[in-house]
Amino acid sequence: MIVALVAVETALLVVLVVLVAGLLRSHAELLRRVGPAEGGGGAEAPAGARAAADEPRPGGSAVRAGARAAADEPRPGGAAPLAAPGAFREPRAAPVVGTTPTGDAVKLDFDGAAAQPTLLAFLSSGCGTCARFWQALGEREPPAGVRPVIVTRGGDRERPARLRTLAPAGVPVVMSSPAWQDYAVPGAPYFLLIDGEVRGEGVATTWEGLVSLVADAIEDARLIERSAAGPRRARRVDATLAAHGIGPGHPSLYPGRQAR
Amino acid sequence: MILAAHGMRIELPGGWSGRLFSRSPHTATLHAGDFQLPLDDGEFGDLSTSVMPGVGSFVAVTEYRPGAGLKPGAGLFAPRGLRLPLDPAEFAANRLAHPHPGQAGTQQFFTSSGRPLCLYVVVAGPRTVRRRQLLALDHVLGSLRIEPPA
Repeated sequence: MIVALVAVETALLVVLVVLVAGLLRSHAELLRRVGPAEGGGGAEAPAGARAAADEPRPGGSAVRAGARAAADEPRPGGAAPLAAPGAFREPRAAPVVGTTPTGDAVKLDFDGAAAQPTLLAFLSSGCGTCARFWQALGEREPPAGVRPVIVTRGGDRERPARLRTLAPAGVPVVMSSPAWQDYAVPGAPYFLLIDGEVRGEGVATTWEGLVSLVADAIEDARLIERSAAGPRRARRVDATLAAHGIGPGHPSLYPGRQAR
Repeated sequence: MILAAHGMRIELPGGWSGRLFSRSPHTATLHAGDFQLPLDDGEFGDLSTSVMPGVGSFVAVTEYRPGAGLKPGAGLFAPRGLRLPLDPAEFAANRLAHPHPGQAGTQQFFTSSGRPLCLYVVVAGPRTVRRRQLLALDHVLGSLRIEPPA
């Protein structure tokens, strides 16, 4: 009798173990599919995934994932704001390598020192909105002293002869499909401001919108530099005072108290 | 990263920009530098050397058109190929095509694959960094390949 009871209990225990193992496995699979917790320091989505997430929206504005909350408001002038610097930042801007419509080879590496920031204008020969930028980039002063460079897709998608007729005088045109992939460009027209790293990016549909985008990105970059400079200066002053034996609470820091 | 066009080919390391361009048929020019190059510059880098940072390197290799007394492999263009490593003693401010303060330059005329060429190198910065600059330049120029004229 006892032997039979032990056998039944053992069998029940085995069944329970199997059930628990199945539940744990199912739970692990659910967690895997849901993905890492927000802000949990998970790996960044690959460029392809970002590109898919950044499809241009109706109305002609698109901004980078990660900066949407701050940048979703469309602006007068047909521009979506450039992604806020720091909200989504490439460690370093990828080089642009390609050919020109006249058959020259070009490599633009943004790691080297630069006299001025570069504005990469991702344009195509076929899009209607791009037409005004092909013209304006040749006729108007570049916004805020930046160096404009037009980047089109490569020879697989663009005809060099057509691009030669569109290319504005004095503005380099580089045909580079890899650059569109590297920067996950969602569509044309699309603009990136690069100063060693990507300072801002987004869509503009008018020249005024583009000027505004660039000015905002430069101002944002300055603000970030200024905000970083304050604590740095404070630490330097503290270190200098400490070197002379002046620390927190030192009487010399409160001349008013001494007078009283 | 390899840059190739107009019968020239060169490998540029990270941080170097470059372009291979041709303003007239049968001649080509290479510009390379460890800073961001202007893309609308003349053969000997007037614009590029004017925006060069305080410490930087610039290379131009430009092709001459044979004829009117210019013969590949003869006279000024008699040397066959580049003379590497670059000689630090050959760099001087008075060898600059477009003088700028703090810069020194050197030139070599030579023929490679039947094409008469001129190498023009400009370095900027104190002499203490010159050795490192020349090592990088030797490395970059060592990867230059010239094809016979088409």
